[in-house]
Amino acid sequence: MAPTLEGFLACLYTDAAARARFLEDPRGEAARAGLSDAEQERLAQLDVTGLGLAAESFARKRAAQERHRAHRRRGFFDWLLGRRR
Amino acid sequence: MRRRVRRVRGLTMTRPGTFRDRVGLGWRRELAAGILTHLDRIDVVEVIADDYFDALAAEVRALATLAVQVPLLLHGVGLGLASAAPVDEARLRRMARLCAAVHPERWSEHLAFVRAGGVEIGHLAAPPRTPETIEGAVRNVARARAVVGAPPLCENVATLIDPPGSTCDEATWLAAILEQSGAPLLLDLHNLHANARNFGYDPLAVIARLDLARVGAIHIAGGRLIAAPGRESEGDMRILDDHLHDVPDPVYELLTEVAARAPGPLTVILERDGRYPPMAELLAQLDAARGAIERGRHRQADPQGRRF
Repeated sequence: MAPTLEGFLACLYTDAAARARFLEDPRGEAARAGLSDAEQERLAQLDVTGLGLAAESFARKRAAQERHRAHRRRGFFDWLLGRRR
Repeated sequence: MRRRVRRVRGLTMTRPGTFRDRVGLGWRRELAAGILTHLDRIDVVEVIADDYFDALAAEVRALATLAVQVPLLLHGVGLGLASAAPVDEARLRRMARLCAAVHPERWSEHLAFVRAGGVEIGHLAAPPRTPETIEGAVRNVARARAVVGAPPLCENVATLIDPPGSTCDEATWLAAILEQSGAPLLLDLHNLHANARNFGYDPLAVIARLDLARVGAIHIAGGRLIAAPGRESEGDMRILDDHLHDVPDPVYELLTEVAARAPGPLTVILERDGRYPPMAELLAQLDAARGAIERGRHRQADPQGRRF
């Protein structure tokens, strides 16, 4: 069941609405995601402070990656148009 | 001239019957000029592999040329080896192609998951520490070794959240993956320091649990303390491994501990990803790392001084 657990965590880390639903009802959300009883039990004890910090950190990283990709795309088009040696 | 200086440095750092430890720096575009003009003080460089997956052929050729001039490691950040799900074959093949083109001394990747269920997290997430992710990581490392042609150095990651759903601690999980996969370890000492501080355990106990003969490289870096929004006054501060700050003293102390116990040569890389200080300050941190290693090696030579 671990791939399901990882998918569930990926949603928690990236989706504020999913995070809010989970914090409202941890066991219920985990059960609806198809996680096992043992996984539901462990998630009910989730580190809430860490969840907020991690989600914020991942959001900053995704934004930085998007800026980096945009920069590289500009570099490629500059090269294509002969503006870059 | 540069090669002669490097050879002399190597001789001066090598005692009869011993090996040579190396200290180097993460290659970043902003640091390139400084690195190239100080190769007499930088033994090795580490390049982020993912930055070159979509690079122009000329850029890859330039990287291959750099690998001829200075020992070079390729460092992956996007494979997500520590997952119960299989590693992405297309990403593995890109790593294999880059390694074939550049001929790095070694390559590395994190023991993290970066995507799951069709969702890209955008960074390295510590997976649930469970038998399933141990098994998945071992399988993924084996696949990576088969496709790339050499096993990755596997890096321990920093985390701000105690990995939800875990059934074992970090040392047990890490040791199991290394033992079962036979992979070498890229031991990130700032990640270890941050996790130990964030979740209240002794980093020396983790080092004591690891087979340091497996250490193929070491990362050092700096970070900062952060608090959850609205909870600044509650004192629940955690270390964010942002690579934007100088290496703190506890990381040098951990480096000394590793050098006191590791049976083989160490390759230490300083990671810096922004807020770049003058090159002289980065070189001073490399020298501080050399000093930390030397203290550890002296302790190794004098067992009476060992702490374990």
